[in-house]
Amino acid sequence: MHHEKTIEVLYKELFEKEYANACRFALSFLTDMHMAEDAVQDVFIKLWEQKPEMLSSPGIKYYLITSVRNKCISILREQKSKGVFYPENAPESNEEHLTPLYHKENLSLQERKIADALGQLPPVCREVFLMVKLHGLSYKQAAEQLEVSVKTIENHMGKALRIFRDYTQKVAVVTYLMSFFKPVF
Amino acid sequence: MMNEMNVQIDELIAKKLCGENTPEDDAVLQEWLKAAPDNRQIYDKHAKQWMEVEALIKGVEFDTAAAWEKVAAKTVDVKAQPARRIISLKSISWAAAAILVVGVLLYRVAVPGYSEEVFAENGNMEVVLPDDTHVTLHKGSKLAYNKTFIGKERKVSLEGEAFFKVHRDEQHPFVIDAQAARVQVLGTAFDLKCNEHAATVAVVEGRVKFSAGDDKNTFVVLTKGQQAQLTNDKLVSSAIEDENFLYWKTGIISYHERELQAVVAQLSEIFEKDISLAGTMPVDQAHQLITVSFDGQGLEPILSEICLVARCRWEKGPGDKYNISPR
Repeated sequence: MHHEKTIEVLYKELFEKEYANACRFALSFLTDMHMAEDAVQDVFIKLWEQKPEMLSSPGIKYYLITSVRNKCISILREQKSKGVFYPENAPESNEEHLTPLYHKENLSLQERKIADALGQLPPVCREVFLMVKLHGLSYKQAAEQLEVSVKTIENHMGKALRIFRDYTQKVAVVTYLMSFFKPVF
Repeated sequence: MMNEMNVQIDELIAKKLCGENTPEDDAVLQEWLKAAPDNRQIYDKHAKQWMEVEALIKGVEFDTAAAWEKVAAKTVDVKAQPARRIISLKSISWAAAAILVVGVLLYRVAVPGYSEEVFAENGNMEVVLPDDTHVTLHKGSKLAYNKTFIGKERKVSLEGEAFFKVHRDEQHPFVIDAQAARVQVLGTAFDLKCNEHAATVAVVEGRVKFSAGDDKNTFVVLTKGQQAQLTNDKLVSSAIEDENFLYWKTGIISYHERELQAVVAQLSEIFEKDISLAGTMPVDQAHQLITVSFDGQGLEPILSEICLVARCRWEKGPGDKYNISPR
């Protein structure tokens, strides 16, 4: 039973496996790909410097998700204290710090689409949705991470379903209406 | 009422789409699907939308390889740090550098050793450290520590073997300078054996970070039931196979379905006596599985009991050699 993996190997494996998903998660908070990448790289560097012993722990994935989340929240807080953004059309929320930078104008089309779809969800609901759908956590694992009940996770996921339905219906109507104007352009 | 029902159905559909559905959920969902012909369509539409959003999120590409290069340069590739510091010294004036060197020298001299030293000369010793950490020091081993722990780490030094039950304090890691190895914990219980060339850790509770002496990058993190051995700067970890690794402390020897041959070999080691199985013993008798435990008995009563279980007998020959043969 000689399972010997150096810490470098563990670290690289974790990076290769989780980097992109961690960035997608960060993107949902920050809505900017560069900012998301910087945030995630920062989290990885801190992990190496401060918590290398976590690397061989089975909970490393949750640790990573939580760290990315906290990092994003602190970035948003910092931005806010500098008066960088005032999300006027962001979804209503009592957890303002979770509201991403919707005002940003230079988003790519893809960034915009994601921001739009996810932006329909209230912050906590969005987080739950991403934990389950992006990171593949079970309801129970997500509940443990967020320190809420499984029932609460069920509520959020049901809500996400409903909001996407209403949103896509709205988009579909717009697309449908737009098609009438096509000949004009 | 209708709205509440919709909310419940939304949750059930979400659960189903996430694979979290229970048989009860399925029953309710089936019921709903049958209730109106449109419901099937609604469900399918949901499934499609859900997948679209998922695909949208997962469709964003990030260049992991390029990012790794950046991160590696700041983490795993940073090893030649001392060399870098020397170069940076050049950029300061020589006078400043000289002051720095003197400062470092003074600092090194000023670092205090340990104020307390315990040597378990005549038998095992119990030591309680200032942070309420309990240490059982194996006979012949040495432990050094400071009367009060100051600074970020709780530092001690060990030569020989000891069992540590470390008081939990996440703010102040407990660090053991164990000759060839270095052990770092927050709060756990484990056995540590070391000399100048090798070290072994077996963890009873919690988590232990075990590293080679000077090389901070070679380490393993062990949890309950795991052990690791350091020899020639190589770390090998495994599950604890020997349930009697704490015999020196507890006086308890216990075997659970262990081969007679292995039992005899270990007793020989524990009691430091030559014990062997007779050449006339059939192979299957030597390999029979033994389950038995002892608490504080001497070698001869132990041998008698084992022989009773294993249908053999023991005799003591010249030079304190024990021989076990079939009955």
